[in-house]
Amino acid sequence: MSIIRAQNLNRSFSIKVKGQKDKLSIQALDKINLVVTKPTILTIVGANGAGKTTLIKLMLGLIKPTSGKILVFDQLPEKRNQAYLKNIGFVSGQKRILNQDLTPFDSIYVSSLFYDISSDEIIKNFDYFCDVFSVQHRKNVPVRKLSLGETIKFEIIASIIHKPKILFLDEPTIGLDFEAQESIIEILKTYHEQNQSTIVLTSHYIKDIKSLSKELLILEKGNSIYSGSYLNFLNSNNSNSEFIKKFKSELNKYD
Amino acid sequence: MTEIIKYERILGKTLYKWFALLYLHFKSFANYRVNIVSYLFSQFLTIAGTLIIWYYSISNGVESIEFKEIVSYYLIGQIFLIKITPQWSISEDIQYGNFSNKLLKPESVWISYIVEDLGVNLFTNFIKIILSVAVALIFFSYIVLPSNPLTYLLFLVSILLAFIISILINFIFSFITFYVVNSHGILELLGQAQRFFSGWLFPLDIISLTRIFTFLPFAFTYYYPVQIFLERQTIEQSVQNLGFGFLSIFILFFVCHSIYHNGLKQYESIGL
Repeated sequence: MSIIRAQNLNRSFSIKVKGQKDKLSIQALDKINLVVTKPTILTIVGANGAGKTTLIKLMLGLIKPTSGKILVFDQLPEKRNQAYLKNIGFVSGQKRILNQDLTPFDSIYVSSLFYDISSDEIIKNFDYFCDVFSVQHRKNVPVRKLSLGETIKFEIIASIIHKPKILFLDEPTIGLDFEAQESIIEILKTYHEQNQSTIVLTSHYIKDIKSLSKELLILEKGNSIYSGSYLNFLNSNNSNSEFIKKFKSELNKYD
Repeated sequence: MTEIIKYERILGKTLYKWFALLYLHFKSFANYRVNIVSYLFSQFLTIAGTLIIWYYSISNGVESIEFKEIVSYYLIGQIFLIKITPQWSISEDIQYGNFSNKLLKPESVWISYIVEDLGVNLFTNFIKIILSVAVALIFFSYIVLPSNPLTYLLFLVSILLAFIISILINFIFSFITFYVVNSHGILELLGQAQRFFSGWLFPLDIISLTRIFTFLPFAFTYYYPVQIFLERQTIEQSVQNLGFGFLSIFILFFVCHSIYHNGLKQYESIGL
């Protein structure tokens, strides 16, 4: 059984442009092939508009491919069957799932009940993750009063409290200070190691990419220009892509 | 939320999770006391204003209905017909991409919106009922109660139908957002249509022109249930109308289902 398998995955969008009669067709993803067979941390990298978020949406089943196929745990994500949904978690750096008027515990407790875990287990897991994330003292504060870093931490807790086998994160550290960013990187690493879960994330931050990546997928204008091990990527030196050259130079600068 | 954990054993797992979701949204609404007090005054003004307008209209020449009948017609509807308004949150969620959060949860999207809305509206429905009962007590001699016990049963069925039809109509209008992106105007139209075509503003049969609206599904959400309670129809007519109500549910469900599933194909989950 593969964890993720994408075959010739295409996705295009039609956009209405002001003043133009015909809709503009944009190829967001073009013949993407990807196979993940064992638990790993896959980082999807690319410039803005490269197709990273579109690929995550396809993996989550929020949109359907125009052609080609994507399977997660050998299932079509777009079917959104219960077994699939119970095995995934999702965090967006730019979208909130917690109720702003209530405490993180209230929101997370109710949302977790739908994953067939008992109240006792929810409370136990919540307390454990609050300790790990160092947010124990903020768990009873209304979400709207929390800082961005604290909110993201609680959003991650909400997404992993049911211990999903695969966790999708779309730019989870966007806008965070370096301390919060570091702590989230550590937490994700620990979660991956302790639970043997797969993590798929998109990020523009070199620190996230360097610290987390085991597998790498680089997208450029909807095309896959690198797919494989992160270490192999670091050791390879034969790409003609301008993006890859710049990206490598950024990675080197960070050292 | 620890205050409700004790109900988990009593309700069982499935029912408890929906109860917890309802309670969460009730709690979220109940956080804002100024909002609650404002709602109380707004309901009071609506009820008092409506009755005053009718009192003066009937005193000054509207002959097709008596004030006594209007008091019953209006208050019975206010007390027994539940306010449900999920259209605003559904539409906003679709427009701004937050609908994805619902799609990614292992729960029924439709039921979850209904339960959340019931939670949010629990207090407002409670205030509406309490105020209407208080006014009904003042006008008690005006309230017409059913003489036939069977009427109560038919009324109960009609309330259930009204609830389901209201939800389906709300869903259909909110799912239009999948196709038009911003549907605030459409939802405003829905709000006015609900008031006008349902018989909330006035009984649809008092003006011959508006009788045509009794053929629309909106009429099952207010006009028909109150007509049944006030025994303004024979038992046979009531049963027949309930039959049409059930038929409306099937048609509306089919429309709703197809708008929803075709809409999902267009959904782009903005900002993920």
